[in-house]
Amino acid sequence: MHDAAYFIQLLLSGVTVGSLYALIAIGYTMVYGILRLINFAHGDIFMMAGFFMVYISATCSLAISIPLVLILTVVLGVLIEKAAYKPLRTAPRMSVMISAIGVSYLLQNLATYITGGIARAYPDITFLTKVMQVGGLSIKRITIITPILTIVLVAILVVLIQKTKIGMAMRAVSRDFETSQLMGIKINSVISMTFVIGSFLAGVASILYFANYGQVSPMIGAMPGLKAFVAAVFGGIGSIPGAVIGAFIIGICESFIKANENIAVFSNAFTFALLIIILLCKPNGLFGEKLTEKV
Amino acid sequence: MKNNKKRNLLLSLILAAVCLVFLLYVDKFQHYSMLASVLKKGAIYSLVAVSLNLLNGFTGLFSLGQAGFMMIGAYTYAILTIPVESRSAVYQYFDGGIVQFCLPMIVALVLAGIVPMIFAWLIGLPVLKLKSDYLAIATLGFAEIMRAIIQWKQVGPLTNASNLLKKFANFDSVLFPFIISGICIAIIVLIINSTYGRAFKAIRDDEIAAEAMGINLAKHKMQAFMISSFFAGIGGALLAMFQSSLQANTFTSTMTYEILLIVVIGGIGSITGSILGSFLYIACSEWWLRFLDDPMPYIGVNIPFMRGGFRMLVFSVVIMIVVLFFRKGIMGDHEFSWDGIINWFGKLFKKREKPTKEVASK
Amino acid sequence: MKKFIAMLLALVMALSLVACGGQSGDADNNDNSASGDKVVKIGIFEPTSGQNAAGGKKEILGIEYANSIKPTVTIGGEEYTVQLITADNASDAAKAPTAAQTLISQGVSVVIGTYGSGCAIAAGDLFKEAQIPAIGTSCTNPQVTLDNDFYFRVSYIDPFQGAVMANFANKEKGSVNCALIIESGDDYSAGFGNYFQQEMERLGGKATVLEFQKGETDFSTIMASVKSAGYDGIFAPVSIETAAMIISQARDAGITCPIMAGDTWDDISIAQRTGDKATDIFFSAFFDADDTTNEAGKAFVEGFKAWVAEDNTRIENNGGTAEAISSVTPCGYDAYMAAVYAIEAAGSTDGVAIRDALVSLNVPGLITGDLSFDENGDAVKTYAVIKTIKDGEIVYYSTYNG
Repeated sequence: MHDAAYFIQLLLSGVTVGSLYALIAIGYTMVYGILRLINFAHGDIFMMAGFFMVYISATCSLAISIPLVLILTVVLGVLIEKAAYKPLRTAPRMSVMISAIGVSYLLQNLATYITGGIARAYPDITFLTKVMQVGGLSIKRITIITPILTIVLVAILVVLIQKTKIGMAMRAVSRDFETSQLMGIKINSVISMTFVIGSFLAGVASILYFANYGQVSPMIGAMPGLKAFVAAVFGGIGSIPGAVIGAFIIGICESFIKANENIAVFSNAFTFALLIIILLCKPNGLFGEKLTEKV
Repeated sequence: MKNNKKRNLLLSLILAAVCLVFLLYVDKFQHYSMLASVLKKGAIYSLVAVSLNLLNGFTGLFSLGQAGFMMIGAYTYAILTIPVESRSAVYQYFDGGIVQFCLPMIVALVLAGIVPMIFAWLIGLPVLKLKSDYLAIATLGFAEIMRAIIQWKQVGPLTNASNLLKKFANFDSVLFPFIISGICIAIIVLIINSTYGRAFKAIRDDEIAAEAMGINLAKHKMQAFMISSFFAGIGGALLAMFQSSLQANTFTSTMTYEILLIVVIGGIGSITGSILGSFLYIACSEWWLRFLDDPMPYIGVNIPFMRGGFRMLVFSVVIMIVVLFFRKGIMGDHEFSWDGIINWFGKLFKKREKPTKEVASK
Repeated sequence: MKKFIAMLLALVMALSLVACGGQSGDADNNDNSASGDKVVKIGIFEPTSGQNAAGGKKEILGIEYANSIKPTVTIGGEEYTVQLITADNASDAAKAPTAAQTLISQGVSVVIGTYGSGCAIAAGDLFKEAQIPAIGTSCTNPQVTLDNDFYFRVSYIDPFQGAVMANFANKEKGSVNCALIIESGDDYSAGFGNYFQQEMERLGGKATVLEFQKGETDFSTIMASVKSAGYDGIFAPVSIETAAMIISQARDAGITCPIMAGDTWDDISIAQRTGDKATDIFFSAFFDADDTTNEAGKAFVEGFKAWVAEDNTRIENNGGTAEAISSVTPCGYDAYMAAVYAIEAAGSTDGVAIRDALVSLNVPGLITGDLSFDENGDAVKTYAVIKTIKDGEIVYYSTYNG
């Protein structure tokens, strides 16, 4: 009953959503790789980036506000690390996770307070939202730009991690925290760098995401955040290509599930089912490295 | 020592009597006051927080699925106690639903514990093998999956899909949640002080050592998980009664986080801490801090930053302060005891006395 | 030291529980005796956060404006000042009971609200138990007042509104094969959609349900289905926040059929957010601000615009302009007036007396017409306006009188 255009449309919207999850997932996977911490606040950093844009673009032009938003998002990410995670570095893992949940709660309440709980219209970035007609399909520019930009950013990131000194330090820290400290790696700067990269990508994702949907609300970060985390686990925590592939798979599956009226209610639950299946069958994810439990 | 025991018992009895009189007074004269509402909700949250604490604090299993089990308990209770004659109104889109009987309140309440326990067993089989934060995210995921299943149209005749359930049996008295929560918490305390409880704590402190000492890890973890779900389910049923309507969307991960924060505020590994934490949390968030949402024009000043949402902002800042700087919460992992209080008062007294004596001797 | 702080906290908590208990007890006593202080408390039960906040705030404006017109009531020859107490139900049926309890515990005599049927249904039984009458503003689901003799309502209800819109879609717009986009779990959306579907099928048309989850932002898959199946109309009884996304994503996907909805869409922010994409949009409303035959309405429109322009917060809550009037605002106004008249007719602040007064209340010439309640507690209304969006403004399209 449905034509090919229908399936292409679904696939395209899945790829767009998937690439946005990918950008967020990288932040999760890098932080988890290094600190072994599920940064629950990451989704809310993404949300805050959306609000930065709403308020900054009210007074500045887009050319100024886009870089400003990215800088502010990075600052926020690093600030959260310094304030909420660094003091707990020697504490049990549960405490740090609780702190992450607390930060997430704080950011959501802060956003609710500032906006008065009403969703705000996101500035219209016409360059991204222009609709093109391609053979019976209506495609927004953003649908094409998002995956390409994601792949380019990931490629740059992989080079950064494989070829540069800070990348090497990151890999060392994620392999063995204490030993790398003994080898003279400045742990704190490595961790800050991780948050800089993660938040930057979350900022980019937020611009693409909210430009596409047109509005930001205080609770909007939680779900994409969790899904991105699942993508990170799916691909194998610590593995950047893994996170990206996981995110694409989740995005596309979700798009097809949503389109089927009978099972659309499972569009969020599906992600978690996938998580549980992967954890049971292949606990280290698709591309994760096997870690042995140390006694 | 024997004297102490007698004295403690007496003190406990007095405290219990004072509480009872207080509750009766509230029930009788302030039935619709904020106080009554906070007390009811606090009692319910105490039970849920203690059940989560049993898992997180006493067994060291970091589960984030508590809201899911509460939801199953609440639904079990609600579905079974809606009067048959009201069913066609409640299940208006599903021709009155498929359940066409109504159970007595207490039976349904027990079932509200048993059904989540069965679910916990099913979920625990695969999930409990996972390690700390993976366990957390997997249980969180299961809660989301269960919520989606309840909202699914195909099970609508049973759960009313995502529509509201209401008109189920309800409590009116302030005492009711206190009695149910009290009994449940007492059972949990008994479990914690039994050999099971000691095994749980051994697992929390060191899994590998516990296994080496002959504790069956899988079995004990499963037990803790099921017991916790049982009481979470009852807590959920009480919450449904308190709200007098029920919808799956209530039981999101936000609710689990809220309960987790209560446990942290009270002290991870302390039953009395969780109870105190619950009352404190509920009273602050719903009552005492409410003035923060109001710019207070009636006292003559207009404080512009105090408007809707400010209360929750202040509240979350306070929580962050507790999480970062008072990591042990109110009680740490200690329990409330009369000896503790008396000793503490004694110490306070002595500390003050000492310097005066020194001065005098000089 | 920590122990000390801990104990201190516990002690303070225990003491203040007792202390506050005493205080609120006194307050209750005062209210019950209804003498001494001359204040009548009216509770406003509305969403000021969450997805219906924009609508809730506009209803509150209507109530506050009505309060500025009639700030006192006369009971037994004595003047009482009306004190408004607001509780935020956060557009969430889960949070509504707590908000309702806040109002009940503060001893309000009548409750006004709410925008969104889900919250009204969730809290209805609490008001009933506490024997406090509630006057619904724009909660249109019939379940709100059914089996609840303490809940009244000044607006029309969904079976009526659903029939109006189905007739409009089928006969005027020729949409015989509609896509029905509803939010799963929302009583307003599901109920209204259901009545629309029934009437549509009675007229020989078809309406296919497409559901989305609460908090959804991506409607591209739904739009792909709409386009692929070739529906000739979209009916989307959803919240204001979702409305803007549905309109713009439908038009982005190249769907050109008319998009129809109900009373929630009468909100200027939808027009502002969708810009030139808002074409062929039609929705039912309670009130037409440009109607020159409605004397009470004319006076209200003039007075309200001036009142909003006085204060920046009011302008912001009205959607950033003092010119637009959402049709839920008059509902808030009418509900307040009904409450005040009922209190005066009852001659008491007692909930049961006010309820009895409401049952037999008959107020002619309110903004949305004469007001009296039928046996369910619903206002007797047979009049609906259909509006459309044109050049970024909400304008009158046609009237339905049945």
